Amino acid sequence: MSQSTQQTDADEPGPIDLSESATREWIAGATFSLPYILIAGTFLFGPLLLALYMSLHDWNALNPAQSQFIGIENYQILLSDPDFWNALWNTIYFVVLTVPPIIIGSLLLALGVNRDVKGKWLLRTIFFSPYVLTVAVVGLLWTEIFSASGLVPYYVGGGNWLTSYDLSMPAIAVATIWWQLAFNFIILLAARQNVPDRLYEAAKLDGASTWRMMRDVTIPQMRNPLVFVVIVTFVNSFQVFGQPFIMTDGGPSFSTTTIVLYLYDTAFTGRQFGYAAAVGYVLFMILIAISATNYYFLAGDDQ
Amino acid sequence: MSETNNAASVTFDDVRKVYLDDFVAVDGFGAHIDDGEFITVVGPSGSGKSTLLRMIAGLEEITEGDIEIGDESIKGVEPQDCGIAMVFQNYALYPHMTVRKNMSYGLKLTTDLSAEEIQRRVRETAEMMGIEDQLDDKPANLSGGQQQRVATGRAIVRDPKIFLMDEPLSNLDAKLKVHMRTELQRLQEELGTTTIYVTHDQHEALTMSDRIIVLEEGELQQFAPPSEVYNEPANRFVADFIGSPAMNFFDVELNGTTLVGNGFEYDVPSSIVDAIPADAGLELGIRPEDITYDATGDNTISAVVEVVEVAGSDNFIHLDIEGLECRVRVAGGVKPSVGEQVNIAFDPDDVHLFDASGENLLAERSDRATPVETEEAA
Repeated sequence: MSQSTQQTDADEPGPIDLSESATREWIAGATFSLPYILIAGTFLFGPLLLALYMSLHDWNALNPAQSQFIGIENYQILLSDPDFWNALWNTIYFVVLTVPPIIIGSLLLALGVNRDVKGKWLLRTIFFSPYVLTVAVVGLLWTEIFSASGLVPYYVGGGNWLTSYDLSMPAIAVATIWWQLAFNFIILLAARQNVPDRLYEAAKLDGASTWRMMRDVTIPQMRNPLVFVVIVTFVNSFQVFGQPFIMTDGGPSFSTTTIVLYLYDTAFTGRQFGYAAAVGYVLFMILIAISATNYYFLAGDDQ
Repeated sequence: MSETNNAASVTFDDVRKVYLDDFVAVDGFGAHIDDGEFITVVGPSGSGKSTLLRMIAGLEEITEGDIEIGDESIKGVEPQDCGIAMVFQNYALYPHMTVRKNMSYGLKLTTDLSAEEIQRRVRETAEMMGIEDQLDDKPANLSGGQQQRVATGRAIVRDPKIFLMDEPLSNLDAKLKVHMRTELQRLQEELGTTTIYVTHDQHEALTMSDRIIVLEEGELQQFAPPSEVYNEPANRFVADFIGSPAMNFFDVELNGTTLVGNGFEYDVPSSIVDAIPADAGLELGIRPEDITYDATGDNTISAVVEVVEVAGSDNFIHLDIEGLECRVRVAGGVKPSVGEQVNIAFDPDDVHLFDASGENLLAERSDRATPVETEEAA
């Protein structure tokens, strides 16, 4: 018996069949990938393709077979639709109001809690607790706080913020920041705790001030989680729906109608599913572009 | 390269370090290290050797006492202003910076040298360390040995008054360790910079240093040149800790001029007898390499071979003397059978005697041989 046959099945002596082992490997690989392919295919790529298909049709929701192909007409309408542009600008305004405070705030909280402060675990719990609430609870809670008889008008003034054209979006932003800060805080705290102390000791001996340590050690060492947090926060803020839906229903005077809220209204109130799909696709493209830009500028040369 | 290496002596004045949980890491430590000396600090884990180093570096506060560099106390002085550079055990290189940036970072922050001058010094040091081709690589792309060189280069480029090294070779494989050991010695001789080197490896301590500090539970046990630490250990702890295989110890009593142990007797000359105070509880210490195997004549001790460890150039034989274990180092060719009856002997000059408190009663004698190179036997 040759050496190679010792590794094969005792019933089938002979050299190893390479093509057979490759096939077996392929089957194993496919089996392991199958759950992901099925789930992603059903809930991600399927809807993605269907939405593209819908956006190119005058979609008839009751009888899809009677939908008419209209090419890029939905997209052409969209570009000259003032309501779409209003929703887009509202969304960008919301992103500007929420993304910087959420990222900077969660980073500062994480760095603060990482220090040797007493009652660290209590602070961690307090800062994280809003995240476990659902958007409905958060929306109702902050609706109360911003209502005419709520805490904010009482202390800050401004009457009912949610019925004010200028204050309604900042009010939604405050609620969102309070709610979303926690998730980023936990990720960034874990990231900060992964930075080895020895790097700070080396930096101290190199003469680095606290600020230099933050700039030259902490931030570069937390870069990957920071990139993740920035991208996820951008995506979440662009996709905001629940908070304006519950707190203002897009008002007053459409001042808090965001893109997803506009998409929802167009589809389920206006019954224009094809047009809504086009709105969704434009949002999808915007998010891809922003995520790619963030990744390109933040992820650095070793990504 | 060095114009600042003046008065780089280090004086420890009754230094004590107590951590927040009341753990005393260093206690009553006093010593003076001369300018340009290579000092190793050895001791078992938890003996306070790293704490001592970290106090000099300014990474740990001094609870009591003082440490002076030259004539100036380091208390309240920022580490970078003390003229100190440190090589860490795990190198502590900045992973996101290239080798060049790692090496220039400290210079950039602490000196007003021009960018060109900094680059020139980095390049010179990199050439000295043989890492000039790696200057644009990140630490993760370097081998362990190269990372070690970068860490050492980062310290050298600062042109410090004092090098602190915290087990810098412990992450390297055995062969590279021996190579880097020689290289560090060469560098230290070339630069003449005062170096304090912490290690748990007694071979490094014996081969590299001008003097050795032996620590145990935060207290100084002995501070002496390697040959003295080896031949005249101040106490039983040092005798046991330095040397591999470790020294043999036997409880004995003095009866006239004879040391009587459990199952053996050994006659000692009057010079030794005179050094022994009356009623002292005694322990006899003899190094495995100082024992003559298969001896003849008077004053021999009978033993039975229990285990033979073959270690290449040398063999280690474990003997049984009436229930007591005794290790003997013999030449590689000597391979007795287990159970064989042999006689062993040793020269009275090689004998160490410790009293009940562990103090070496014969330490002041100066008729010792040079230390045996206990190469990688452990």
